[in-house]
Amino acid sequence: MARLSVTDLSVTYRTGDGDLTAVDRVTFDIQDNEIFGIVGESGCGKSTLGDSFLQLLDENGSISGGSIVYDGMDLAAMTDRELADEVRGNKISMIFQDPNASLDPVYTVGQQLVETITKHLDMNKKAARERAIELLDDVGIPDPEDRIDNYPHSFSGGQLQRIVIAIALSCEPGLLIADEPTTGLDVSIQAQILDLLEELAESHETSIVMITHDLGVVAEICDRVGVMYAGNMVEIAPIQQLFDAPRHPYTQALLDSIPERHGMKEDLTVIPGHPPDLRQPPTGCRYNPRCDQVCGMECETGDVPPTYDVEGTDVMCYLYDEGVNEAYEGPTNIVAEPGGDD
Amino acid sequence: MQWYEYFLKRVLLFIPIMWGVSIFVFLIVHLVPGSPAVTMLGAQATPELVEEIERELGLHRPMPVQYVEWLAGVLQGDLGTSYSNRRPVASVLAERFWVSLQLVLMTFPVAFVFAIPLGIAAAMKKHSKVDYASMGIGVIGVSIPTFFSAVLLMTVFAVWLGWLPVSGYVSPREDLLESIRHMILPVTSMALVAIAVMMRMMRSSMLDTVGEEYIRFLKAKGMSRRTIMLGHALKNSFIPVITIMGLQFGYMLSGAVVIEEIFAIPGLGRTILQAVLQRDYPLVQGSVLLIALWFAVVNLVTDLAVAYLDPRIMEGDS
Ligand SMILES: Nc1ncnc2c1ncn2[C@@H]1O[C@H](COP(=O)(O)OP(=O)(O)OP(=O)(O)O)[C@@H](O)[C@H]1O
Ligand SMILES: [Mg+2]
Repeated sequence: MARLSVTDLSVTYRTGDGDLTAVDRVTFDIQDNEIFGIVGESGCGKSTLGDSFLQLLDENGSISGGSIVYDGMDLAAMTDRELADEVRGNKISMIFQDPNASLDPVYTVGQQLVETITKHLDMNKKAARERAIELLDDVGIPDPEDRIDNYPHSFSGGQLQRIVIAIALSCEPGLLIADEPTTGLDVSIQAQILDLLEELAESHETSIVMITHDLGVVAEICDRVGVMYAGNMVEIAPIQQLFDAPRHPYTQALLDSIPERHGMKEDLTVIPGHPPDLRQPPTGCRYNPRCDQVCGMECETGDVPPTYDVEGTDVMCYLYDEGVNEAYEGPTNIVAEPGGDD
Repeated sequence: MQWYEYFLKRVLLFIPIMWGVSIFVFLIVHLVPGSPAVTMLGAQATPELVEEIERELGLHRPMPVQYVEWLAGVLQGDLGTSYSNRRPVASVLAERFWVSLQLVLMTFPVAFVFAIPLGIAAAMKKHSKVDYASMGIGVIGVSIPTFFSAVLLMTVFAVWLGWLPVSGYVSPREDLLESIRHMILPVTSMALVAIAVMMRMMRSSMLDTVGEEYIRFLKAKGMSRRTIMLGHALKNSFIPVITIMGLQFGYMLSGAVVIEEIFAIPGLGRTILQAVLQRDYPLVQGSVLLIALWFAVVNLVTDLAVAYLDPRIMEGDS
């Protein structure tokens, strides 16, 4: 069942020189107990999309269209107050990139756990403290009874991210949004944190939105992946299918830019050209100026391509349009690997 | 590190600091050209008379000897005798210190009560009327010279309206009400500057804090805006403000020269000015020592307050 349904979601930033639509009519679902990855180059709108769920956007940003439905509520239509009281930290939590900056330095980690628990759950301070100790234990902090009264500066980055995760999951949310949760950490710690997230997601029955630019992270823990390009969700596919049979030329280029396809810890290397300025996005498909498979007029001058369902992959590309295919005798060089899709 | 260890460490630091200050104080006065004997004698100075007075004051002996003697006296509370009025420096300073302290103790709370809430309100409602009003007060406070605001206040409230005395000082032990009436105008003009400085610091510190990632995380975990701003942002942003407040507090005691002159208040600032002009060496030395001690104490209290609020300080020190 879909736990979260995002439909035609757009997010716009007001800037000194015009509006910038950083997320443009994005539609996707997140299923129960699913880890859904969102990948793409820097600036494609991953964080903007993640921030919009809980309306944590920068002051100049706002949801300019569409809906985000969770548990029968449209989060996009809720006020800040309603979100704070009913949703944030309670039904949906979010964690960020820099664990060293994520906790208030002048309160103990225990105080920061307890304040979250007492805010959302019907518990007194004492019970909340008991729960906090259990949570710290669950996320692998040694001697939680003692460490609970320590201040954030006395923990390492990896431990801090564990504590942040404990706080985020303290009220059993149904969904956790994790925006590059391992990017700020040592490579050796990254895998541990991913394992922890995967394990907790399963035991708490929490779905995760994993925002990352690291395809290694995606390969390791995601069930399905959405690929973003210039504010569009250009391809959504189950993880194996994405790696085996990428449909969108951008996804193909993205995968090709990794030397060893399933190798871990490989950051995306550069695809020739630059992402467009989102204040004046190109007409047609936003990827067309960099695309090596432009297939006809529509790509350059038409609308943004609609989403096609190609054997279970949702892809926003005219290559998969019947009409285009007829007129141009099919796409020229689809790099889908033989035997990739089953 | 334990709380008392930190306290002890800071208190022990006092000794070398004050010792350094004493050498410095001793030296500056003795290295300045111009004999105090000449100053004391004025127009009737003849070389013979000057020499006699210098001998009487002990100015002819080697400097280290003079220093040790002077320091020994200081440690017993003997700061020498003022050249200009022949009274013990210690008792002159004690008198003046209480006057200045009264000025500071009345000004500081007034400044605090206005500056801190206004700074917080301005930061919480950026670009609102409160924010613009606070910015206006800030600009006025720091850009209008004290002598101008003092004279203006005096002209309006004392001369034209006649509500308050023009100048002078009455000890609170003599007549509390009169004492306060005499203090209102000087306190107001002094507080204006302090309000501007402290409020701007509070506002900008709070705005810096609000941009921190942990504020976003607090929001993401469902904390109310009130809890975030008053429970978390305030405590964090108050830490740098304490340091600024300490400086203000320290400065007010000795830096009120202009105010004290205009309102004829016999405080420390005025005393120092007169002592310097008259080359009253013992009085200059005593005053500078007293002020250094005052700053050192204020600094100690400030550091302890910061260490109390910021758990990173004591940790980093061990
Ligand atoms: N407050 C803002 N005002 C104006 N533009 C913004 C703002 N925040 C982000 N943007 C723009 O929105 C686009 C998407 O930014 P976003 O941070 O969502 O990208 P991202 O995919 O998370 O990138 P990264 O991988 O670098 O984190 C970018 O073009 C960025 O410049
Ligand atoms: Mg980002």
